[in-house]
Amino acid sequence: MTLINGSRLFQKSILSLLGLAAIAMPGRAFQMAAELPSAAAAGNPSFGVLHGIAKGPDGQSVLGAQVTVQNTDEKIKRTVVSGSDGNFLIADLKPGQYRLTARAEGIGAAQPATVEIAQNQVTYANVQLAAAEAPAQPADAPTPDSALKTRSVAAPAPESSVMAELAAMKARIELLEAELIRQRSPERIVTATAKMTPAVEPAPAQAAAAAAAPQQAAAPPAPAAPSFPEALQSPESTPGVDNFTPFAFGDFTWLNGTPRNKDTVLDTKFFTPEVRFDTHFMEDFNQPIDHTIVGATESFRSGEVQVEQISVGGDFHWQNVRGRVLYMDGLFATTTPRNDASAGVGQWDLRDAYKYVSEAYGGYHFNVNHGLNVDAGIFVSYIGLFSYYNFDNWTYQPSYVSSNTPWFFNGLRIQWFPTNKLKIEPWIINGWQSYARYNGHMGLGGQLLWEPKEWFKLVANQYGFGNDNLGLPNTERIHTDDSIEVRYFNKPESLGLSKMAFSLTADAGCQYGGGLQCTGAPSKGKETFIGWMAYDRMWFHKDRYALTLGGGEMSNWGRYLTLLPPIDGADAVSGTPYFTENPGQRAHMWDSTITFHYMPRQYITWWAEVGYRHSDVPYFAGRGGVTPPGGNNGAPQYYTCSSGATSGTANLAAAESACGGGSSSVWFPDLRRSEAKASIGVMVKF
Amino acid sequence: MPSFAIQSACLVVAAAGLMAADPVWRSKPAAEWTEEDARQILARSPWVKENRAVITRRLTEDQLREGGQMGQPRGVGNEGVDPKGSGPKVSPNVFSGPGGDDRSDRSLAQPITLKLRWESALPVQLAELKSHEAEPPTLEGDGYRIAVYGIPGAGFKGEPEELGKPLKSLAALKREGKKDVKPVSVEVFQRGSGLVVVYLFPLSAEIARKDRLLRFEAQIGRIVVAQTFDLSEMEFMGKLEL
Repeated sequence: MTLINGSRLFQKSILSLLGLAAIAMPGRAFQMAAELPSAAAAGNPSFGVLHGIAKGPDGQSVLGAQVTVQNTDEKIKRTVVSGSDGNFLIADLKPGQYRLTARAEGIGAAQPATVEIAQNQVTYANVQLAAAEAPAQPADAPTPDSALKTRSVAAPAPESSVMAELAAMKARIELLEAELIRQRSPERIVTATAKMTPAVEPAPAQAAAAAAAPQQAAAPPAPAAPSFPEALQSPESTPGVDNFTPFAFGDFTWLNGTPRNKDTVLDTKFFTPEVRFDTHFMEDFNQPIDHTIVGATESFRSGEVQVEQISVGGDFHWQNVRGRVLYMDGLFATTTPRNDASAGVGQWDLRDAYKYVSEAYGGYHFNVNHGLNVDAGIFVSYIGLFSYYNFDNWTYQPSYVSSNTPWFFNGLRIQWFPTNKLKIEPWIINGWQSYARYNGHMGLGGQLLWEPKEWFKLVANQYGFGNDNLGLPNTERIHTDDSIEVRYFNKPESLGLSKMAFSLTADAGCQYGGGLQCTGAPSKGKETFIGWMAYDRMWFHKDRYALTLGGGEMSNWGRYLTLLPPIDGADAVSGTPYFTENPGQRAHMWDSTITFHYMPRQYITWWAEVGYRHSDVPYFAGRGGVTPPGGNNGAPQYYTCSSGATSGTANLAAAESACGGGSSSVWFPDLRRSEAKASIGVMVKF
Repeated sequence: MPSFAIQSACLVVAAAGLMAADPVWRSKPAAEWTEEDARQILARSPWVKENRAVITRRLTEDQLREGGQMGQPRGVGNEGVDPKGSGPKVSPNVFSGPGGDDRSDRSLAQPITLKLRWESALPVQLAELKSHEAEPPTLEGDGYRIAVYGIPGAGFKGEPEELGKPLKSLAALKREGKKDVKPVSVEVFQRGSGLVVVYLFPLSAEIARKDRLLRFEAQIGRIVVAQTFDLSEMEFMGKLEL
């Protein structure tokens, strides 16, 4: 008998040492644990894990409680014994609903409960043992099983408690295995659905992982997390994540219009550099002979390799003083400024002055609430959801409500973060995408950004008091641009579908005053804009690939937000007689795109896209192109003769006369109602 | 024979382990505590908890800017928390790669083990005295003092109070049904083994046994700590000691 006990105690001691080794040398301990039969299937990613703490009626952890899960459908029954800290863990459970029961001799049993085991996730469920009606015993008589209770260990252990210790050690090893699984897989930890305990709180480290970015690896569990009343958990804060820095509680790199980089390659106390390259090849199936693509702020040349953007710059920061500059070259340096008509006001050629700058501002950060910034300079605009920088976007060619709305503002920007989930950002700006002030007063606008959860974004941009028409001093502009983005599926470690999200944007606006109006018949000077766009994106193979489908539509009476085709080199200042933008004139367009992204590394995107755009009026460049014979003649505001020379007039009858007579004497651009396009490219962002 | 000796030795060790009695702060008067007893109290007792805290992920400059900030945050809990070699490694191979897994260790939340100690609790003070612990961190003024040991970082310029000032609004004691208690002061002490952050909470909080559970939450730069204390365990000589 002694020999048997001694052998078991010897076995226990060895297992104790194993347990100690597991704590001291986790890697080695896992290796040892892996040799146990039960560990063989522990790493099966299609299975789940149940983890919890057994507690007695007095709330203390219970050692040696027998915890059983049973799935009657699958005929699965597993029993484990809780460890010295009450912990129990059942690994490699097939996903599904299980009945969870527990009992500990001398203490009592728990009420059965239902737990849901999910694939590749740890479900937490504590077990609350209720007091049993034990047979009466003399007060001084030893209660053998009372030794199982952590705080009651006082006498040399009888055989049953030694066995319980052995089982506890096994449970400990299983716990370490689960830790290993969790370290290998950053899959989320789900909170228990068990009904056994009123409140089950993941330990801080676990909660951090659960609430933080889905790509983040889960922190190892704190084994003895006490149950914690829900009322003590602040609804506004998630334990274990940065709840102060705005939007730091989650990983928002999945959002459309947001760079997906997880790291900054280089930064110093004073400066953080930023570099961007964006090169593509586009093929417009209209095959314009002048290789010119019309009607977008992202697509400009057909059948050529072009560098759309080369940007170098970064952020300067010293204590609370800050500044940002991002220079740009490539097509953007020409194609963005040409849409600003305000440069036609006064002198000094502002378009030339700013053509190589996409962002340049300086300001100060105040430690008020969760931050208050006051910055002045030139900013990129997020009206239209998409970022000005294509690397940040789900598609290369966004729909009209993004492509036709502003990409920059000159002025003063205030950012106030009253909470870590809300930004209120008023603007006092020169005008709607304008380097200069058009008329009597500046424009006012603002953004409200709310990201209450990692999977949800609401952004609302409002603009008003704008006086944004060249030569129309009494016309006001108002506009609203509102978007939501929802990530409705997230399994970042999946080799199949790893993420799904959609964005929805709606825009509306109008101009009024000075003979224009927001309502009424087109003949009465109607100037309105209404549009929407929607995109759905799917990521695959750990977010290495992505496919985005979407499109949108706009209706723009008065064409004040319709991009002017660059006929004969026309821009927003010159205008063109071939595509006028007069009150009451309609432009109704829609488009759709399919975009494929290959993102092997966080700094680079290889992409391919096909798109179709349609307009109710001739708008897109056809085979004949939009360039006169012999090239631009320097007078885009006038009709051009068939010879390529300017007619010197914007009146067609006068132009026909000036060009030698007859309609054939005047050159016309080849404008079509539709455009199909295929593109490939590569974008880099550090 | 040797095997019998080993078995016997193991038997003795195991039996001794199982004969563990009540904890020393309950079973012995403080005057009889040995240095080992004192060290045990300072290592593991209801007033001293090992805490698995989290170093939140390092944000990119874009993420910081989106949140209205620029440049990596500085100060206690921000500098020196990322292990060496945990930064990004840029591969010249741009045609293949791990996709969403292409990220550095420091862009992920990391666990860190800290020690929380109720410095104002009598048994802790007695144990510190008995164990001759050099210069236990103290703060001027009465109150509940909780020290957080093990914060990485060194070489910060400034007085303890100045270093602790940014942390003051980022900590609280929480109880069910009662208003959160904010610290009246926070000080940061620099030691060879790291930093010790000491929070002083006002006695006006009147923490009582009936509160049952008490949760300490703090953000120290990028380190987020949350620890629940069971007040029923924190009795010394029949009285709640905090």
